[in-house]
Amino acid sequence: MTTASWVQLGFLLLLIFISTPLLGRYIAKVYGGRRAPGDRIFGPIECAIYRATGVDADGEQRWNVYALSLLAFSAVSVLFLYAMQRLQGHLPLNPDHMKGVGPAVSFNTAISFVTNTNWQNYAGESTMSQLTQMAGLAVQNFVSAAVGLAVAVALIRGLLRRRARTIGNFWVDMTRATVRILLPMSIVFATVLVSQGVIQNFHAERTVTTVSGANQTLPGGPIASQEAIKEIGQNGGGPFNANSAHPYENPSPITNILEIWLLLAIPFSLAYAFGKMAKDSKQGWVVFAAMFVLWIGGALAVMPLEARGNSHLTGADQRATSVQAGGNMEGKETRFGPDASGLFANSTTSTSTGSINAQLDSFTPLGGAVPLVQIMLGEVDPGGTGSGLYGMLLFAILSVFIAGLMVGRTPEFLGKKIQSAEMKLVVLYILFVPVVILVFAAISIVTKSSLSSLSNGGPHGLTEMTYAFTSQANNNGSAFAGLNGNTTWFNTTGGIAMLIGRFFLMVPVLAIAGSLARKQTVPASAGTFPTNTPLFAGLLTGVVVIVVGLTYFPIVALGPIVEHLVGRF
Amino acid sequence: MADVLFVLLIVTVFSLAALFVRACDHIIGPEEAAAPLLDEAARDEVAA
Repeated sequence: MTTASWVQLGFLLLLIFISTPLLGRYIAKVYGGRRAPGDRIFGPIECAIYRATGVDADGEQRWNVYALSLLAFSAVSVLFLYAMQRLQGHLPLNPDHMKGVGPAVSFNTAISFVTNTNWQNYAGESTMSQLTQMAGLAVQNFVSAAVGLAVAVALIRGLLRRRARTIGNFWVDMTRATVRILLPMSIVFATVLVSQGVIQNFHAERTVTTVSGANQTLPGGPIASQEAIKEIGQNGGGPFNANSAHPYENPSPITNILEIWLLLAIPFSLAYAFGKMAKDSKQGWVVFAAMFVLWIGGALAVMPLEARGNSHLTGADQRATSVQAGGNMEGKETRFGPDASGLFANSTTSTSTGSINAQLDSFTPLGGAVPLVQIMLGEVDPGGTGSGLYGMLLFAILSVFIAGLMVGRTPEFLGKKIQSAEMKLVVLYILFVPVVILVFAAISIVTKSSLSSLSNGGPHGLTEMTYAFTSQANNNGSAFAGLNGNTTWFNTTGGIAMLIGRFFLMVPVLAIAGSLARKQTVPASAGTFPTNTPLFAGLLTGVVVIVVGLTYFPIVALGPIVEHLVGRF
Repeated sequence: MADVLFVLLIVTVFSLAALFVRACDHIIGPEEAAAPLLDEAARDEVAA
């Protein structure tokens, strides 16, 4: 790694450690009490939304009503987005005269954006009208992130409330997330991105003559406004097929570091917000520490692996010099180099964002394994907006259960006894995604028509296939590439995987919230395992690694590890 | 025809998710099985 890479990493860490308490404190106030900063501005906007939609902002919901509200909202969103894509040829704001999107791609894309996955089996600049991009996809970038945030807040309430029937109001939680957190941040950082060269206009494509006399088509569109929420909401779906490798989305190393920070800011801050809401900041820092260790571990693995280059490329000069970045530069942008590309890949896959600034398919086998494993960890380090925190809190419940088994006492978390009902729900949460990934990937690697979509065979092909379903089922959305996902089989199974990976995980989380909210807290005793200590942070990190390691080790071994050992890359 | 099938598939998966809500409700059991619950006002008093 070069000095510049260390400086970039250091600057990113500085931003994270400054923003986590600041943003975390703000989020805790938004959800923690009746008054919050910005009430004068945001209050009237929220009231207008509640009046227009008929929401009783003071009414609270039991967990099952909360869950059904969430499902109803998401189902309507999927159907609306599906119809918008199919009919875009007849709708306004279509300067490039895009036709209606095909049924299978519309199905996959509608689910993809509503589930905060943003897996894209299409090229945005040649498929979607500006109306679809702005009123369909970008709107879902906001509300899908807000849905995740709402579920996390509901779980926190479940942990903190005593003998309560309700866990909040889904409509209020989602509105507050959108109006008070996501929209203001997006407006500020879209403006910052415009100042750094990200485009924002309503132009159609333009053909220009280059200095060498050739013709080149330059796309237009409202890019900065989508780019900001793409990273802030851990969505990842870019307006261009090249995503954050495209110079109109991510023009410089400065925007690159800014975008990496944006995709990490809210998930890390939520851990701090959890501690503030629990009135035990140490509890929040423990969750933060577990997230941070797993994230930085991945970064410090993938960056040197890519910077070291490809040992099988004999004769090629892969040294870092004043005129070249060095390292494994295949599939990477020269303005970023291997280190910043590795850092971006690690961050985007550990946060369920899925945006990319390099071709993961061209990473070295072990370098490519890092993003794959980061997604397999279940998007908890620090994970998606809300989904990272609730995922990590479920691992925390599993950890106190395991610790309880070791010492022979009833496990407790934040004073709540963890009993069989909660553990059944935690197990359902942990098992759903691996089952979906492994079943769909297994069917696909023995089906001729699916195999014909792969551009590589052997262990690399297995990695490509596994990555596609891992990314979709975990609602990440990044593509490893090398797989043509635009077939009826992959569009349909991918869509189902995304739905299960999102909603069949949120339901048990909310059920746990409802179950815990009913319980009385028990006072801590000498036998209580403290969950706000470095020891618990270590246990939590270990449980995440072991649970995931046991689940996915065979397929990781057969894919990237075998490819590395065979040495054909 | 494809539109009808995809819309049906979407509705089916969300219906299954709604059924899953009932299944999870069954797992956590009736509210009466937990400690007696408080209404909103009483809960706020306890919290205070």
